[in-house]
Amino acid sequence: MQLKPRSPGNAPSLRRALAAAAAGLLAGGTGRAQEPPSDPPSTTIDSALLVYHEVNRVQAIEPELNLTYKVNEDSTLALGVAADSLTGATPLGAVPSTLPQTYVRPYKVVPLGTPVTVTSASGGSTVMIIPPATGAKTQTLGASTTVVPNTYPLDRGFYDRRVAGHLGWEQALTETLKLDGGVAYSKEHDYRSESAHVGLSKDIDAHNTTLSAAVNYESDLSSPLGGTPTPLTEMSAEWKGPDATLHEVDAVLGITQVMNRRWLTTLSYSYSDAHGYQTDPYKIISVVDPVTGQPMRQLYESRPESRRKQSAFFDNKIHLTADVISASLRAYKDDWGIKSLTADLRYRWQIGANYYIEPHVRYYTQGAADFFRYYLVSGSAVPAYASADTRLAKFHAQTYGMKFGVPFDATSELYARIEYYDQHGNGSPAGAIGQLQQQNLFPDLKAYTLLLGYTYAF
Amino acid sequence: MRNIFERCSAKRRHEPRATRKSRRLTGVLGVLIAATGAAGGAGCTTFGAKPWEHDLLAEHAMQVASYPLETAIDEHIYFSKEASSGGRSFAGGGCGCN
Amino acid sequence: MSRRIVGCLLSLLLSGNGAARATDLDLHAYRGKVVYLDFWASWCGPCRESFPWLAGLLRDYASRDLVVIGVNVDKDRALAERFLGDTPAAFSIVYDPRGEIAAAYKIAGMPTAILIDRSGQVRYQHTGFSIKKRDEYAEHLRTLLSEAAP
Repeated sequence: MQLKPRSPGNAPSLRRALAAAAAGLLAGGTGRAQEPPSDPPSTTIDSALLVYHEVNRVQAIEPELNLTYKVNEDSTLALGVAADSLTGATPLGAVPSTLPQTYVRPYKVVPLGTPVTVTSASGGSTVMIIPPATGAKTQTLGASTTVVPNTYPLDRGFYDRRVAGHLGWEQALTETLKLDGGVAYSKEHDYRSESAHVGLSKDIDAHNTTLSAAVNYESDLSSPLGGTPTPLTEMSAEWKGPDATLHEVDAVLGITQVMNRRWLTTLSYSYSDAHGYQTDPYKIISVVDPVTGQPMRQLYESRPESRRKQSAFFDNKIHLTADVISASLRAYKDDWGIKSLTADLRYRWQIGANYYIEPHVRYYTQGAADFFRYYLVSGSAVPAYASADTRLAKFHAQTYGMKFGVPFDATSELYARIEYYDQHGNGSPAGAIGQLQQQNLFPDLKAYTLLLGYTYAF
Repeated sequence: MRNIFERCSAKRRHEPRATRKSRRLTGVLGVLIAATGAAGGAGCTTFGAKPWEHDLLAEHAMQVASYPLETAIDEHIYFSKEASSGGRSFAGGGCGCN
Repeated sequence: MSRRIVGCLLSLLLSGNGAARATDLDLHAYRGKVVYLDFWASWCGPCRESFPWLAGLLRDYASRDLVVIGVNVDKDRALAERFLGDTPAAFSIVYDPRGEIAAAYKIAGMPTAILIDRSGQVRYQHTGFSIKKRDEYAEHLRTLLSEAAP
């Protein structure tokens, strides 16, 4: 091989440099027919069906459909719809007791004089008539539920339906700069959420690094059945206050980095600031006798109007010879005093060319909110904020899952996934009073999910 | 012989100025990522793959949001059962094609 | 980028031994012609979109000494061949599984087109394939085709 130093403008040197082998080698893959190939896929359908089953609690079924349509080489339209239907029982927040307990809540408002049959409302509760005020044109019906001794009090009348949709647009502004925006809407019979987001992403270093920033604004309206209760007032069947609003701004900054040919990593930071009604209108907290530990009264819970959340997320995808490992860590904290850590690991085990199996484990641990109390004690000062919602308690949870996927080609795939989720908290907190020492104060949660998904592009 | 020296000297000479500037930024952020415990690549081009080496990154399983519906459903479930939420960002990666 | 020969001497020297390497690309045979080097891969979406357009260019300009050579950078040649089964190429393909030719030309993205004039100088480099820019790509090519042979 004859070689010379690089010399700009010297044409023959290029040719000589490249002329080491016979021209015949070029014949590698001589082209064949001239017919135009089919257009690249411009529409993608992504669909899934979730079946969610909590042991002795909520059951849900949720179909989802997302569509993306590539309008032109720079623009993509995205559309999504989802619906879900939930039934079953949710924890009330009250402590269990060695005695039967009866809870009442508002059920319905009807014109005065409407005949009412005292019968089952829903989930085994009984309808009761609240004596109307003098001169009132309507009367309130209450629902009363009795909880058997030594069981965790659940609201068995829980039923909800949700429909949700989103619309998005992604626009390439230059070869390395992308803008995306969208709106989302979600409606339940007692909750409505509207949001809008805008994001920007910039590729640098020959697409090896992507910097991104996005903000989301959300406005929610809570219209609980029976009205919005005044926090820390006694639970009753009376109709409560008007709807309540919540406004939230979220911002995310991210960097995605190609570490090498087999390793992609993402680091992101998110900040969220929410103002408004963040109390759960259906949750209560028991006030117990300081000696016996028996619940004396049930108060509606109370949470701060403001919440600031921060999280850092670190995600990795590593391509082995054919298998792919996904590993992520999330650290979270907020000004309610909650700190949490989430670790997630998936191993996509490619079996031959046509199938994969993906085992999944997730570990989650959180600390309690500053105002979490298993119960309040009668005679002690009532704090400004108090919640016995165990979602705000200290606990840890594990998820074990297995996914089976059949990719048909580069653009379509059928998959099925089954997962088991198990949440553990401290059911016997130190210093429990009287009869509470023999109760489990943390309602353990076990849930199974089945997810079926189908993606198709054309 | 097809080594670090070749990779970085070649890059430095022929890159447009704008790319060099962004490389410096990438370097800073890259160090941040490395600080989380990741072992870096080799030589002066610490991170990244050559444009013609994005074959595996182009695979569906290697996308930042490879199963967006699955992720959204999971986040919705966890949001309703746990106190934490959010944190992800979904940009980047892929084949790096224009 | 124009008026500059891409120096691949060093990297070719360093690239060692073995068959079917960068050195397989012999442009000597195309002295006096305009060479369009198209770097592509099976995993690159826009590459697929560029193939029919390249076929059209060849139809229009082959009589005016246009040569199109596809440089495939797939690590696994079987993937490239499957791609060619779906998306036939109207031009010759040379395989560069180790990216040695790609490195020599310092391509900055996928796909990349390198336009070499009749005297052997690299005159244009197009990174990416955008439908909007097809006229610009063709214009560059016509510029080179209209030049007299050295």
